[in-house]
Formats: sequence, C-alpha cells, structure tokens
Amino acid sequence: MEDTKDLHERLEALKNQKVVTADTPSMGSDVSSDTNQQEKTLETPEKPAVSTEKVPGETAGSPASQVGLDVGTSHIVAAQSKGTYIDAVKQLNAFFTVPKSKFAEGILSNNKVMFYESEGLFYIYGYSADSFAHMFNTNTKRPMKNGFLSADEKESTRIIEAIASSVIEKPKSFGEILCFAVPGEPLKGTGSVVYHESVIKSFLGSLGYNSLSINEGMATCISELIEEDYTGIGISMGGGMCNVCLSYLSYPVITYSLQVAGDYIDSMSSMSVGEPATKIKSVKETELDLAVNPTDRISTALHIFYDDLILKLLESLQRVLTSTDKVPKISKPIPIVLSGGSALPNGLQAKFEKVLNNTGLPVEISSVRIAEDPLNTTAKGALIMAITEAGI
Amino acid sequence: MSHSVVIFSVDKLRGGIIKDILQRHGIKALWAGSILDTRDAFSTHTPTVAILDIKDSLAGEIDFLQNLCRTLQDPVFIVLGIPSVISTFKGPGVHAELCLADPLDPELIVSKVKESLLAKSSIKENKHDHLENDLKQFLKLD
Repeated sequence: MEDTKDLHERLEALKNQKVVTADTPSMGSDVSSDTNQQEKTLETPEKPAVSTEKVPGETAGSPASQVGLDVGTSHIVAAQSKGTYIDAVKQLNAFFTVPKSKFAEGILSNNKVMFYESEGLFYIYGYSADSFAHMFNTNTKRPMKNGFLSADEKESTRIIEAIASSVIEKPKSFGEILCFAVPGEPLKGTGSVVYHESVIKSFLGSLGYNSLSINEGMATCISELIEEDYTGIGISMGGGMCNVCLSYLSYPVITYSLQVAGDYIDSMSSMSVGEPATKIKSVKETELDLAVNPTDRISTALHIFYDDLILKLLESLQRVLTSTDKVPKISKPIPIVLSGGSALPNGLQAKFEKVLNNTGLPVEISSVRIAEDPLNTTAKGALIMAITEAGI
Repeated sequence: MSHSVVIFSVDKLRGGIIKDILQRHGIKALWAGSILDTRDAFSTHTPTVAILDIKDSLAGEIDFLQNLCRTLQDPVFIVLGIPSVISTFKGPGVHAELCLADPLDPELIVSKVKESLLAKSSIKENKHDHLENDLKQFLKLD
C-alpha cells in the first residue's frame, strides 16, 4: 500500500528547502564547508550548473552527497550540488585503440593519458582519445551506439566503466544515492533498456552507490518544468537518440525514444555533401545558425536534416499521443522543453515552432523553449531525483 | 491513518496521478495497487469515497471489487476505466453518473469526489440536526 511520500510531494518539499550557501563558489571546492557562509533560501532545481571538462591526468572526486549521472552517447556528465551551484563534470564518451608497445606506454603515461590494456591493445578513452584520433587523422570509436551500449564493441562495458570512473569515484559514504539517466524504449529500431540499465546499475553498485534510474526525457521535465508543476513534454535531443517524455504532475505518462539525433544529422549531411562527418559536426557545433538562411552546401544540408529530425520527432509524438489511452485530460496547454547537445544551435526553437504549427498535436502546446543549460539538463534532472530520493 | 478516499488502481501512474491531484485539493487519499492492499485499507477504515479504477484489472479483481460494492453500502463508489468494461460493472452503490470513462480526467474526478464528500457531510449534519431537534423537543428547550 502506497502511503509514503510520493515523488511529487518530495519534489514540492525540495522546491521549498533551505540550503546553506556560500557567496562565491569556487570550482572544485566543497562550498558547503566554507566558513564564509550565509543562509539563503535557494531552490535546488534553480541552481545554475557550472560545467567542467575532465582534463587528462585529473582524478575524479569522491562524492560526499547525491550524484546525477547522464550516460549519453557522446558524453558522460556527473552532477553534484555544491552550495549555490551544480557542479557538472563532463567526459567524452569515446575511445581510441593503439597497439600495445613499451614506447606507446611510456608516451601515454608521461602525458597522463587515461588508458588501459586489453588483448594487445591500449584503449585510450575520454578527451584523450579525441586528441589521439586527431593526431592519427581518424575518428574516435564509441562504446555506445544509438543511446545504448554498443553491441559492435566487445569492450563497450569496460570502456563505459572506465569513462564513468573518470568523473565519479567511490562515494565517501557507502550507499550514497546516485540517479542515472536511461533511454526510453525505442519506438522503432533496436536496443534493450533492461540490459543497458542493468549493466550500469551493476557497475555503480560495485562502486558503492545505491543507484536508481530516471528516464532521460523525464530528467528534462524534472529539471525544467518546475513552474509548470512538472507537467509538459521534455525532449532530450542528444547524439545517438532523442528521448521524449510527457510528464503529468511529475508522473512519466508517456516515454519513448527515437534513434535519430545529432549523429543522424551529421551522417546524413556527410553522405549528402560528401564531406567527413567530423567536419560536418564541427560546423554544426561552431557555426550553425538555424535562424539564418544557409549560405553553403554544409549548412544547407544541416538545415535540411534539422528540419527532418524535428518533423520525425513531431510526427512520432503525434502518432504516440493519438494512439494511446494513457494521457489524462490536461486542462491547460503544456510546454515543450528541448534539451541536449542537439538543442544548442540558435534558431532551433523557431524552427521547431514552425514545424509544430504545421503538424498539430492532440494536446494543446503553450510554448516551445530551450532548456536553460541544454548540455547539463539530464544530469541536473537526475541529480534532483537523487536528492529527492534521499529525502533531503 | 484514516483517509477520506481510497483509490484502487493496478496502474501505478493512474493511481499516483489521482492521489496527487486529490491531495493538491486538500483531500486525503490512499492508493492501493492490489486486492490485498484494498482489503487492508477497508479492514482498518471505511472511506467516504472509493475510487475503483478497473482499467487493466483482471476478471478476478473486478469480481472482488463488485463484491465490495455489494458488501459495503456506506462509501460512494466512483468507477473509472474503458467504456465497455465500466458499463458491465454493476453493484448497489454504483451509479451511472459516477462511472467515468477514459480518458482519465483528473479534474472531473476531483469535482466528483468533492461533490460526494459534501453530500455525505450534509447527510451527517442533517442526521445530527434531527437528533439535536428531537433532544430539544424531548427536553422542552424550545
């Protein structure tokens, strides 16, 4: 019998919690232990995220409180609450192999590169892998494909464990709560959520965490829909997949994933214009402005495949919402929030609204907005869930 | 702890949503996700309103709930589910206006629960008034 406080009640309590904060947060330091503290009322979900990338040779910290973990196709992000801000530490979810040799071992060790040895190969992982791939003028490999542990890479589990260990170590106290994001069931395509979730859970358990999972789209809703009482649609547009969740009062009524996202845009654009996917990705991440008409072949292709991705997303949403009987009657129009690395280009919101106006959904939409900090939204949502679960 | 409303639903999401929305309107509710939980809830305290969400319920569960409606005359029963199933759900305390077909409408459920609670409390007040008047007449206090 469910008589305990449920998620919604605990989230409400969290919104109103008081935390002790320091005036000036310093990166990497434990602000809560700072002597120069003053008491402020601060809602954890409203804390800004301060993002850092793990540099080679830097060790992961041992968390002294709850952790939110985003295990994404392209990055792994660990978030922790530190007084006035959320500390988000990011690592590239990629690897690169070189044949084992004394010479290579010396170079890697001297440069504090993260690697391990297996079956005659050195597996270099994280941001270091990217540097090595550039050096050899080739691409990194990924332990995840389309949002799930890659079946193509036999070392995928070990690599994920190594990369995750570079952003989080064993907790200071055994049984610390960690919430990690998992994808929704793919609408079409392949991938087992159960397998993916179990492997990650088992690894986190071996580190000493008491782990729980949250749907990635739901993490977006928890992070961004506080004002709307956690009611709305969260879409996490990552590298390997888009995760969609319709949340009603913090209940994930509809969740699913589409295995098209940033990588799809890159590869389709690459195929269409005959340029390497890495070049396309670089243009997408540094120059693309969806609010401005394209001026060259690459940006034209990127515009076309962004339109295509948005259309695929909205058509799937339309199909799912019209074919389900799970959605309750919602009296007010609800917002759509977009998060993830593929939600970064300027002009995405307007493009999304334009396609939405031509698609039409069975639920009334009040607005489309981009998450406050798209790259850290999932980890932040998972962290809020972890803190809520801890009952703080 | 006594609750004004007990919700039976095998669907955790639907049960949770109904419980949440009622509590947001200040109505104490308890969710029971199985027949065993429902039995426990009714054995300790008879609620004023029982919400029976029979969507995805098994035939045996529906039989149990129908028996519950026959046995207990006191609570107001609100039945939820798909139209074809709720139309076959019969019981002495089951009224057509309180059989709410899908889609789940949390606001409508709240208003029906409020109406039911209000009606029950006015019946109680009336009973109390009658008793008081009878007593006053007997004691010739008027």
